Amino acid sequence: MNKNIYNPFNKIAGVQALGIGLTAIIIISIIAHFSGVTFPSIISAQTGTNAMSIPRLLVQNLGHWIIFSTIIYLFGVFASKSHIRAIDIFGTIAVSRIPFILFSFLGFLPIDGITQKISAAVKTNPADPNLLSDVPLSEISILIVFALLTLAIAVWVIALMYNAFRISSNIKGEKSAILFIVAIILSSIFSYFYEIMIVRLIP
Amino acid sequence: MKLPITCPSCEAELKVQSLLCDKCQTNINGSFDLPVFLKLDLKEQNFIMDFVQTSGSLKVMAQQLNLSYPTVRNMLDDLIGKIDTLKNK
Repeated sequence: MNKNIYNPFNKIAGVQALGIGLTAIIIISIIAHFSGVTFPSIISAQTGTNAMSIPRLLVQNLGHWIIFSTIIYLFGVFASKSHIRAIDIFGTIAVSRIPFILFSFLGFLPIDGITQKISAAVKTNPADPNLLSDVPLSEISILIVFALLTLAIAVWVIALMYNAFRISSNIKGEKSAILFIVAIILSSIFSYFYEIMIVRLIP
Repeated sequence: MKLPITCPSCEAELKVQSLLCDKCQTNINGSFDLPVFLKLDLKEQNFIMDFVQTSGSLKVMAQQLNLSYPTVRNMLDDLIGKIDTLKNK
């Protein structure tokens, strides 16, 4: 596998990365508006939701990116021996949002209808061994493809984010892994409040 | 020809035992430490040379090496760490 797919940051950082990343965030917000995908935190995405407006999706995406980037920038300032630059952190983290472009397209798959059909069958007769007999094979295939692609995209996003953090802050080994996990947890908490206090106010 | 800096048998650091004047063939024997610069591997020596030749500009070096700025800065910081270790040995 080409290393640049999960770690392009040996080649791209700074202003160039920021430009690419911000363009990706705009593209994600536009596609997600039409496919009904939302992004409740830095590493999560949901399909089958009510489509948000493009400005609201932009505020959501930009907010999570700023929250996570600020946390890892602060971690970098205190934990790294190198003189780190904010532009590298913000730029590379923005680039690590790129896989969400693919996820935004997954929102066009009729996943919501299929899962509703399956959950209705489970609720009606959970003991039935032929529970899924009414669900066409094509729909089950779509569900499996969706699950596999979602997993691949999740792994890809996390690998990109971790490499962005590791290279931009020059923190290595165990320390980088621990700080990265703490940053994800902290940013998820802050993102929750950001969603309630800011994103939901945007029409 | 590449200057060996570690013993091929036990990997211990090598010392300079003999220096030769190519002009008059005077041979000086002793036990001299290798300078820190020569204890670095060739890639690291080239990095330092490039750094000096670009007037210490990591941005220019990043462009020349086709690498990102933080990658080059990390290489420099790792090198500084290695030099500190070699000097304190």
